[in-house]
Amino acid sequence: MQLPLKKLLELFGEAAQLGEFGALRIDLLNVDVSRLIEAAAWLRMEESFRMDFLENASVFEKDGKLLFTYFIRSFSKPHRLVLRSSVPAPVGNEWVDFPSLVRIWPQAEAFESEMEILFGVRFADRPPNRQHLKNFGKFDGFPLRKSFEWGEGVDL
Amino acid sequence: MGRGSRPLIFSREKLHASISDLSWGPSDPALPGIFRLSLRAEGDLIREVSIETGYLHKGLEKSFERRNWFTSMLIADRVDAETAYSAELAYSMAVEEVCGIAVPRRAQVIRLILCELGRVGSHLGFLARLALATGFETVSHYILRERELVLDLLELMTGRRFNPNFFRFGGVSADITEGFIERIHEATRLIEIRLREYHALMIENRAFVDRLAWQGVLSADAVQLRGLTGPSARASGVRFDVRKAEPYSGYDQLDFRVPIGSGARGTTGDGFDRVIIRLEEIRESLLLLSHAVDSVPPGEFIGKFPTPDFTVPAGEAYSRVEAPRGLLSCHVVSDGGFHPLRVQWRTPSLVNIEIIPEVLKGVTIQDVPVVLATFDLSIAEVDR
Repeated sequence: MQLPLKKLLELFGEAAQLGEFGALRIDLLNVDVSRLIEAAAWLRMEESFRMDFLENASVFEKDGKLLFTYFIRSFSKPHRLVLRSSVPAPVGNEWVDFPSLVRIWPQAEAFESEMEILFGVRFADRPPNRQHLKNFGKFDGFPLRKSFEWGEGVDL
Repeated sequence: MGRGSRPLIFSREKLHASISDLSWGPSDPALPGIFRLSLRAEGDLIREVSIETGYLHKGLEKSFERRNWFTSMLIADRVDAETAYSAELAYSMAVEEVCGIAVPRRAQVIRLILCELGRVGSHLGFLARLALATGFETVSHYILRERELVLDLLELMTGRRFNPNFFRFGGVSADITEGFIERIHEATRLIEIRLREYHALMIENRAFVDRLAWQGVLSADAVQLRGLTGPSARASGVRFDVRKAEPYSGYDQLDFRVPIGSGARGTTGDGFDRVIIRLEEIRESLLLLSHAVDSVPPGEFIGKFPTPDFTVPAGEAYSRVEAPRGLLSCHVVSDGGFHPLRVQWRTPSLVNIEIIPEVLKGVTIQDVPVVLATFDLSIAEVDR
């Protein structure tokens, strides 16, 4: 454990588990989706962390799950962390519900708006973005899902 | 934001002007790419802005999943033409981390040289586009002449001016071409001289300064709240550069400066600072290039050439580089198969464009193309 995450692990009990990400063994915090916002807010506000920069947010489908991965760091402290949560992968073109982190990290806006269109993720409590609209091409379904079929007439 | 604290002189007509709605784009030469701006203006002062992107979305991340590992490097180039070397580097670094491939020192320095040449070329392209937006067409042609020189050097080394497909997992595809190092020295000396000319033509020109100083002011707090990176963020005083924060490919072996904005003519974080920062970054890149080509170590330019049946073991990695426009990162996931399971890109313009609706408030309509030009947005990066 490179970061002092003991307090967070105590607070969240079984809802948070610590692992390692990649060969560089960056701290990877797996959090149950029901407590993701709480954990993100704690990392953002806790004085010893101040994780105020959501550098990137990524989602991928593997082993029947959609894994949401957030690469976060602090502007003022030399901390970085990978935060992860998952939900069961949807069947067909069903939408997936997931909590939005825009209110905690406004930087999430750019990533969540793409996940919504390309992965079919419906973010709960996400403030409507009237300042940036996305006008993607014509396609049925959600192109970045594994079940998406790239056939005739797909204009992405 | 907007025009900062510069006093505005309102004419009676402006004070009693009516509200008008304007739709600008998606295809307009005054915009930095294919996207739509919807403006609500009071007279000629902009009050509300919304943007619409996605018109040229390439479906690039899906394309990676349809390629095998060996040919996927081609797709990395398509993130953006001016960012191709940084994108290839980010992708290579992520795959090499999953595979545990060590990159020879010589290959690392060659990669660094190409990325810095790419940065000089990109920043010169920025200056040329800005000169056009501000009505300095002749200066734009001068700058494009030097950009040609950079493209010639890239062609000499990689065989291509754009879309190089030059990096390989474990190194680069060819060694340094004969005469390349000598020509780098000549080019850096020449561009350094030309920069002084641009300085006289633009920076010391009151007409140019008046178009940019106090325009589109962006505070350091806004930069951090929105997660902006690159020269546009550094112009607002945020000293974040991945090459210093987490050095890669040998940047820690070289001495260079990270300039930040100081309100050279107007206030910190205005359009003028965003120009000055890029000019200074070109100088730093020229110094880096001079030092790097003199310190290319002997040895191999690649450990082992990947073959068409190259596979990546199951795992994932996240790499980050300082591209010309800011933080470029790449999340690569493999399930051990012949194709990537997922390749996701965080491009600087994808995030930087989010600030545009806020920064354009209070700007006059005539200044919109100029303020947009100072952010050096790449719609190719947004619609990747």
